[in-house]
Amino acid sequence: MQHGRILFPVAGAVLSALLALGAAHYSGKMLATRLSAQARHAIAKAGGRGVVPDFHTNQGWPTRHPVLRGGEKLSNETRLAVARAVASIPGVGAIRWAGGSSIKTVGEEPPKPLHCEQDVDALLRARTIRFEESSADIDPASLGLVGEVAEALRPCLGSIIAIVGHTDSSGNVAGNLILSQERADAVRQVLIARGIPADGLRANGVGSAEPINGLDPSDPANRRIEFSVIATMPVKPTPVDTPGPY
Amino acid sequence: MPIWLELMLLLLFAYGIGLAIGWAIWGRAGDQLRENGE
Repeated sequence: MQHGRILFPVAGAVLSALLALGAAHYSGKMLATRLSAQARHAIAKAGGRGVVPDFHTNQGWPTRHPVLRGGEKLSNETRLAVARAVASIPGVGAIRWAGGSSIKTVGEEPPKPLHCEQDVDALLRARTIRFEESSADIDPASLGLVGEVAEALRPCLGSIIAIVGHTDSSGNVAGNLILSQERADAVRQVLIARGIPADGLRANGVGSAEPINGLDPSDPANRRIEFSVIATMPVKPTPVDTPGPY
Repeated sequence: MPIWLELMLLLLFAYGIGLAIGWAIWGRAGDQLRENGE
């Protein structure tokens, strides 16, 4: 009895599968041929000269999900109209263009540069992030400015943002290097606390090695934190391949 | 996806639903009867 409780349902499943295979064998080809004929008609009506629908998978099985080939010289609008016309045929599933997308490649527009770096520069031109003397503790009065910097950096999320700490040349070189690194780290920590993802922030201290152009290295104005966007990783939109009524 | 696979999945799904409904209506009642020694 226990065997029967397992055997009968499994036998039923196998029977269902065989029934499906048999039905597909008899009607699959016919269905694909009918859909193909209707698709050709719809393509011709939509003005898709040279576009051929292929209702077969890569393995050669008949399918309801056609690949449209050809028509590379047609405009995007016509290709869209062709895809829509085919998609509106009852029984047709997802449509793909051979080559991957329904949109013709017409030379990609380069991503527009983000302005956050300039925004941060503008913020820091008027005010500076101040630290306690010889310490990496951010002056409480400057925390608001760091918050503004975090807001300005928000459009650049997904980019690698470099935070570079600088000092003037007073004091010893090694000490300045460590201090500038600690200050850059401190700013990084505050930015992380303000919601900027840690993996996009790189903190680096260069000591007094890179004074502001035209300024004496010992000038206190060289004590500063600079921000730069060192790499952008634009998010690529996924092409929509199936314009249709679904 | 080939038509045969779509049809097979559809039929297996329908069979599974039928099996579940059948069990819910009659299978459980049968178990209960057996448990009661009837």
